[in-house]
Amino acid sequence: MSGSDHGIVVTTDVGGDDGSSVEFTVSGDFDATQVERFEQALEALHDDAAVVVVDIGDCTILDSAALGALVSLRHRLDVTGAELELRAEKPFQRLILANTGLGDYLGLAV
Amino acid sequence: MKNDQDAGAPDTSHTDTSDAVTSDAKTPGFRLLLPPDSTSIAVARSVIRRTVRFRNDDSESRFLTGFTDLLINAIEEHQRRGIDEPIVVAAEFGQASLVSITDVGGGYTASDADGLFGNPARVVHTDRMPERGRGVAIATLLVPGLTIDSSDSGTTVTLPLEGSGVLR
Repeated sequence: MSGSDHGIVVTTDVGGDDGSSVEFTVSGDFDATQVERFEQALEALHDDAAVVVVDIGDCTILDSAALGALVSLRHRLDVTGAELELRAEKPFQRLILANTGLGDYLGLAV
Repeated sequence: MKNDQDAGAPDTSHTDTSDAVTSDAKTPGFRLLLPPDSTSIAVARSVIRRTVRFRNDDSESRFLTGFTDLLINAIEEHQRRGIDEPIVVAAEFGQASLVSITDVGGGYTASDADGLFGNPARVVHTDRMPERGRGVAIATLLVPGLTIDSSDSGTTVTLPLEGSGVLR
C-alpha cells in the first residue's frame, strides 16, 4: 500500500487563463499531524480564485482532523464565494463523507 | 519481525516491545509503550503496517483511519490532564486478532459520538467540533465490532482485525 507514515504531499496547480482555478492534490496519510502542512499549501490560494479543487484520492488516511481542515477550507471559500470540488474516490473516503454528511457540503464529485 | 512477540519498532526511544504482549504468553503480538505526543502516531501505524497483512488497501485505510482517531484521542486526553505515562498499543494475533489502545485518562464512552452522524448540521456548521466524539464516531463507522472499556481511571479501546487483516 502507498501509506508511507511520512506525512502528506500536496501539489498545487493553478489553471485557467486568469488563474481562477486552483487544484490541490493531496497524497499520503492525512491526519491531525498533517493539517498544518495542508494549510501551508493553501497559502497559495488567493481570494479571487473562482474554483478550488481538492483531490484526496491518493490519501491513505483521512481522520477527523483532516475533515476539519477541509471544513475550514469550505468556510473560507464561503466568504470569497468560490466553488469547492472535492475528489475522493476511495471507498473508505466516500463512506466517511457520506456518513458524516460532509460530502455535499464539501462539493464531493460524483 | 524479530519474533512472535516482538514486532520491532522503528524508533526504540519511543517504543518498548520487550514485554510480552498479551494475556496468553504464547499468543503472537506486540506491545508498544508510546509517549503521549504526536510522534507516536506514525510509529504505531508503521508497526501495524509491518505486522498485519490487510485484506486490501481499503481495509487498511479503514482500519488505520479509525485507529489514528482513537490514538489521537488517547494522546490528547493525556496531554489535557498532564499525564506523562505512556499510552499502550498492543496487538494479539490469536483466536481473536485485535489491536488495543489503552490510556490512563478520565474515560469516555461511545455515547460521546451521539448525534454527530444523525445531525450533519452540527458537523458542518461548527468550526471546532467535539473532536473526541467525532473521532469515536468515525472509528466506530470504519471498524466494525470496536469496543470501548472505560472508567475514570482510563480507557481501553479494542479494534478487532477480523475481516480486515491477518498477521503477516
